[in-house]
Amino acid sequence: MSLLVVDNVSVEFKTRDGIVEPLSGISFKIDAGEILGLVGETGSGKSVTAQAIMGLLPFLNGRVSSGRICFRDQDLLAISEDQYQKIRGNHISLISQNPMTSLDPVYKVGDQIVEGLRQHVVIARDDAVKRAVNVMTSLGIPNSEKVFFQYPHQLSGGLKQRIVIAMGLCADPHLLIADEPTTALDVTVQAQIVELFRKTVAQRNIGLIMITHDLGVISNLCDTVVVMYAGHVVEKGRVQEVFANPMHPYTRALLKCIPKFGMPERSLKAIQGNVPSVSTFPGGCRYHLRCPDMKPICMTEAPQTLQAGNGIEVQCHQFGPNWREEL
Amino acid sequence: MNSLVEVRHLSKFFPVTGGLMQRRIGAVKAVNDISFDIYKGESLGVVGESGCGKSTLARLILNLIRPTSGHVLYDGQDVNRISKTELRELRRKMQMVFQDPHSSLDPRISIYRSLEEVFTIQKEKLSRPKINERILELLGMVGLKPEHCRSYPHQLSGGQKQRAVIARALAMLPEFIILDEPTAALDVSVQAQIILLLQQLGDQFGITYLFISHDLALVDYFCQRIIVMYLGRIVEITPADLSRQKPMHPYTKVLKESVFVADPLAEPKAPRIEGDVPSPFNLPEGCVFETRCEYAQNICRKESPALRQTMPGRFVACHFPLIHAMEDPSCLPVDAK
Repeated sequence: MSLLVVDNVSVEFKTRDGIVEPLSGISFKIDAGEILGLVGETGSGKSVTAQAIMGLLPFLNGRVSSGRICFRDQDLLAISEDQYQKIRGNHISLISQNPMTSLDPVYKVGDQIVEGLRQHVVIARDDAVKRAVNVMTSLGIPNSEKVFFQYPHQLSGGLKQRIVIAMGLCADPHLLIADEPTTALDVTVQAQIVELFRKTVAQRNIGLIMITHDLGVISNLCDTVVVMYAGHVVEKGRVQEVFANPMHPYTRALLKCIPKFGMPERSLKAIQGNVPSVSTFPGGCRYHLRCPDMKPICMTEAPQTLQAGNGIEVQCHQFGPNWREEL
Repeated sequence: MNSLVEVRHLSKFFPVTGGLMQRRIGAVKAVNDISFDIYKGESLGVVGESGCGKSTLARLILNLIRPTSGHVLYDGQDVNRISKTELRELRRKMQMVFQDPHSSLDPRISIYRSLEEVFTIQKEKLSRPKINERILELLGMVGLKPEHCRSYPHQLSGGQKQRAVIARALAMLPEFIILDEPTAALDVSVQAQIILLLQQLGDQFGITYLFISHDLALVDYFCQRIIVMYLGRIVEITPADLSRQKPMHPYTKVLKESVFVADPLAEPKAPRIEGDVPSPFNLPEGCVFETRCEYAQNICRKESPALRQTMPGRFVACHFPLIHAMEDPSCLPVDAK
């Protein structure tokens, strides 16, 4: 039994200019103890995916238009808001990007952890405080009894991020979703937080969905990777396989445009053009405008998801039956 | 090599006030007694974590803020001592590109007018058709289309906005451009486009760059030399190509090892350093890096090490520099062989 199954999920938003679809038919699944990396550029639909799983899409104009999201064999799209509220925070927690905006500047950080915990678990205040301090200590926060009574502005960025992670972990969730948790941090602190995630997942045997645009973090931390582009999953598979042998032209290009040590001069390769915005997603394959291998079929037909031999799933005509080199 | 910019014992302390009377209770030493040269035609990188004084340094070099002590010589002229008219002349030669292209452009005026302004505030006025021609030429140089000049900033993507900002910086054909994290707000695919554009423009016009970033791998790729800063001090100056040049300062080593490489075969590594950068208000007494350094000895807690040359082109401020670079001749910089 997979912990979470996202099956062919599409999301639509009503806007003034009509209905847009930031997610179209994405699928992936994650098991306990697994770290899944969701990678893509701005506008690829990473954060919308997180919102859809958490049931936090803006309720006035956003909805999951098709597909299934199953958490431990329970269909999250079929349950009531009250039931969802019991899962959200209890069983699935979300850690958002900027630690400063997730913390209220006028309350002590400890009280904020306890408040969240007592929303979800029936527990006496004293016990909640003890549990919060324990979680804080286990996350490597020095003098957690003292830090408990401090305000967010008294803490450094790395400590604030640890507090936010503590809030997410306090209710003992089975699944943690971290939306760009290291983007706002310095590199030396980022390395510490990544290590912390690795340890936490192993100790608690939980699932972690790591949303990031940093392929370096993915390759160091994750077991599987899901590459997203313009609302589609273009490639997914084991991190080792995908990074050693990227199949989709977008994954290949993405790996080539990151500077690395020891790279020969002038060997950086940019991807031409820009990520399309959600109202201007092109027809056919959504990557075709920027793809160097583009063929006429890519403009007209959306590619199907294909199974490659090494467990990689890729969405590209190149590997399909209709591909002709000479076209 | 000819120096374009010479920085000598430059310091900038920002006063901190407190209490009822807002009395001065201390100072943040943002830039603390640093000296280096920028050679003509090179790209010099400055890396460091937040709060290390990178951006303050850029502002000091352009004389946007006045230093507490020390001076900056541009082509032999002290930028803090020259008259206002001379400074205006000098400003044409040095430009800056900031991190966030969105806040660098006026949201209420079109790209055309943003660029036009650069020409109209100059003493010798160009004719209208001449300006028009120049603007279209500039847009072409940075890879924007002529129709983009009618656009307003909000109609452009992040990458296009940064291109417009670069076009504006190029308008007066400067010799020297400071790039303060020019790609930090952009996606990786767009970052690569901007980096390639900057390199091509640098070659074409012989521009000297000072490239400020927190991304060591990016600086290593873009620059010929790298300055590593920590808490307002230079800890190391090294030629780029850090895969061959082994870091000599423990901080540079940590910084390099903290960069995640997109290679799943690389061993997952334990973080090499604990804790955060200390506040620049409360600097450690000896070496600035002493609180986080794994090699720290007693002397490091008492005495601050001076920046000294260990071999041609390499400077390090450490009591115990990592000497492997000297043992292995293949690590020597090219001109030292």
